[in-house]
Amino acid sequence: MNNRSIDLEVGGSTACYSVPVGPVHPALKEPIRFQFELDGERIVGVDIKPGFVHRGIEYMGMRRNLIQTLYLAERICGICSISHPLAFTQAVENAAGIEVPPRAQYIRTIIGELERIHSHLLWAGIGAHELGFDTLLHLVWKVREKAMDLLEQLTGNRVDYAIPIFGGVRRDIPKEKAPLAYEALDYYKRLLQDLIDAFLHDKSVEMRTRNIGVMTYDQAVALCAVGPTTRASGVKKDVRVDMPYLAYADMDLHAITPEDYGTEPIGDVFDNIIVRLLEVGQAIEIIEFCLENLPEGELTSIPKVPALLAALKKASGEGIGRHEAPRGEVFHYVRLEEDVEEMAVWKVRAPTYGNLIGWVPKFLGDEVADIPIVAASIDPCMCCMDRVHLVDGVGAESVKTKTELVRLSREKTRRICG
Amino acid sequence: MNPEQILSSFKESLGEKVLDDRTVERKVGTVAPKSVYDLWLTVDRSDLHDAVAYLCAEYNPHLTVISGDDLGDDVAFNYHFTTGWGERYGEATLTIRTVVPKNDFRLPTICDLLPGAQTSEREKHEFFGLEVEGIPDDRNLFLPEDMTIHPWRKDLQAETDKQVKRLVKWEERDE
Amino acid sequence: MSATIVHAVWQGIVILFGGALLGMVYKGFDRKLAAQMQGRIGPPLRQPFYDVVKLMVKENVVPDHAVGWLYNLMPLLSLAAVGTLLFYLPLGGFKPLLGGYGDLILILYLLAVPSLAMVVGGFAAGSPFATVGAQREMVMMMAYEFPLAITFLSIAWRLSVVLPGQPIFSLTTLAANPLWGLVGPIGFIGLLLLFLSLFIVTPAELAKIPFDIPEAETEIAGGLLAEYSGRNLAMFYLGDAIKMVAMASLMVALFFPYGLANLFHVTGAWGGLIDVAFFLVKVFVVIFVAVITVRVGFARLKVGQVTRLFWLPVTGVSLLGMLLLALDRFV
Repeated sequence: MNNRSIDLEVGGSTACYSVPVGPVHPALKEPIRFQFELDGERIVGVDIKPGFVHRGIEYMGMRRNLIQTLYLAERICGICSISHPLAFTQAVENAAGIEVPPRAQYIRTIIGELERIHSHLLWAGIGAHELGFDTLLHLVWKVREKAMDLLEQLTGNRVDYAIPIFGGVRRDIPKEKAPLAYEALDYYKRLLQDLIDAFLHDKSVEMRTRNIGVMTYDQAVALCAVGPTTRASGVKKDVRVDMPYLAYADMDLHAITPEDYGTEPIGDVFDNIIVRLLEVGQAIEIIEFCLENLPEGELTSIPKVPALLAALKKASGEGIGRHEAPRGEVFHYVRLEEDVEEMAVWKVRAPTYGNLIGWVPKFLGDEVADIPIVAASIDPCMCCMDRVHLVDGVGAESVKTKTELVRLSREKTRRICG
Repeated sequence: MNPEQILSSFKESLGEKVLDDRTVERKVGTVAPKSVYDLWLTVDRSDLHDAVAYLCAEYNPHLTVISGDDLGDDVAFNYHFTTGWGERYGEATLTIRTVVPKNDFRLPTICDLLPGAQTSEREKHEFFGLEVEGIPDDRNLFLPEDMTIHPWRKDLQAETDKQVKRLVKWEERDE
Repeated sequence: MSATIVHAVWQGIVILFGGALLGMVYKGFDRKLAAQMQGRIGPPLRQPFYDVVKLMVKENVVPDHAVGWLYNLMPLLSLAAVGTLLFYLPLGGFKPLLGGYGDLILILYLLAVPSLAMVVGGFAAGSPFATVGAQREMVMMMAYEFPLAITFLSIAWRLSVVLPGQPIFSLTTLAANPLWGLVGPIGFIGLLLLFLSLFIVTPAELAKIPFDIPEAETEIAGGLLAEYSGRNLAMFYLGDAIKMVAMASLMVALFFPYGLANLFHVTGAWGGLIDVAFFLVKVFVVIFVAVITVRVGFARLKVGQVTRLFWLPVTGVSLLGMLLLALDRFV
């Protein structure tokens, strides 16, 4: 019988003082509060308190009809913005029994993989910034702009693309746009080796990331970590491979671990960099496959929105939708009731939610100087993770209409401009 | 990997404790469609720990999340596991469902079997008021520490609404 | 007598202002060039002036937990030390203003004072981030002072062998007699090694990446300087700018004190002007190579790694240089 308890404490020394990091701190791109117990520079204890970007999304989603909730789901996060709609539409389609045409599946995959490229490059830049290596931050983010431009050309928006709808997609990728996509992919193919050189062959980066923030294979499995974080420890968990969906079901993919680079997986920050950069390469291949094999056909199985809403209202059942977001497995659970427009249950589980407790073994034993890079190594997306209420602790209910809000903001602008 | 095998082995091992089970098969892939499976299992609250222990012993599962469904007098908790990761087409989702009455609102923890369950259990504790017996840490996770409301309980909505601050009035529907 | 004092005071004021101005001009170049190397446009060259003016106008916040008088005194001390340092350096080809009243050993101490002032200011600020930053600065100082001292002493000692009887620690003598031409080939290599180690010590002395650990922005939110604002921060900022000029001038004085005017046989005012211009160019080159390119090319190191780096390889290199210089005497 496996012993699944893991050591979440570092023994042997007394904590001298406690340093809070967050909710506002230059190392954190989103608010979360850590409380570190330090012995000199060594971390001996960590307490994590999320919940600062809690917005009431599931609460709101269960009071709106499904298409309104779809827009809400997209705005759970800006960086992984299509991951939530992809999982959500899957869940509802499974619950209601709606089919998705092949062309729509491939288009969803293309946009999903483009998002993976831009998200991993964003992470690489942030990681460099946490290390103090601002040069790499600026250069990588400059490179990332090509993916953002392509996304804007294909979908009309840099984030929040509004592509999936229940039963298909809302916009097409016509043949005329394919050359744009190929040009961007060539650009990345040429630059990928330079990126890998810049990060993985740099001595100062290696000094700062090797054997830092280690999460072993057993810890990763016991703590149910997901995504590149767990693949860096050698655990081959990847929803696209284990339980394929969309166009991934037609491809022969494998979960990328540091073994693909030739090194033994240790689960440190360096392995995280390896996995994410190699996944950019894998994403490029997937997009090329999808563009070449894009099937003809309709874009959505129920084109008229009123008909769609009627079909969803009549549907009943439970559905699970899973997608491999850039940060890991995104999971949506939906239960629909017959003749009720809203969902009965909607549970969103973002990847950072699963990796949250994985932070604890990663931090223990490292130094204060490693806090930013270890915090960034799981690629945290707090806004995906915190979802529910906007609460006013004092208890007074304050309802403002939209016109009033606009008036207030204009007043403030006038005040500032004086 | 055969999903029927999983459910039948559960039934063999737990016998009468499996109250209900269902296999949902879906086809994926446009070129050569293959099947993927969602498995659903219902057990009584007192058998939950045994069921999860059996799962952990035999099938090396991954816990995704625990979701809760307020049914009026009781609350159904779905433990969403997946098993069989690591192999192409090898994974199936397995949801273990248990119903807990509101007047006896507690559940045993599974953190001793799967330490990664802690986040989900803490969330259920703060959002439903569920008492999880044996949990290592039961402080509020996403809500502020001094918060006492349970937003997901449909019968306690009045209390929740008092503490909700709405910025924009949405078509009279948020009342 | 009073005329010389007035003259000296005037010169002092010119040096101070000139040093501050130069420091900010070089800082402006630093930011602009670093930005260009990173693929950005970067701020205008006048940006450090805007920064200092802005900081002077902002509110000076003293935290509740801080030791008030220490907290406010340290920026002044830092600025005063760096300003005084300028008086002992041969700038622009001229003799140091207070040449007869202090020498290389005094400079070594004066170089340490601004860092010490920041350390005390960090401890006095009463914030955990400042405390961590101050501890790191102390550890870093212990690391880089050793190679710095070895370099200075080796050069001074070697000069004493070549020119017995002269005050060898005086910057005037050192600037007038560059060692490159006075030693044999082994000594040349030794001198090169010492030059290399001083090069590596320079970004550490100035707390620039990869050695800007005490002020690590992403790790400890500004560290030492986290609680400073307004006038105090402006003084630290100015002190940092002047220290950059001072350190670069020191390097130029020890290793490249050559003047152009003699080469072209130009004397008088024009000769002085040419020498000053050449000096500015030399200082800029030192700053470019030792500070700017290094700043853009590396990630920040950890304090343990920095101490190991300085105590083992860099000290080793400087000791080897010293050994070679000594050997050269017998060859």
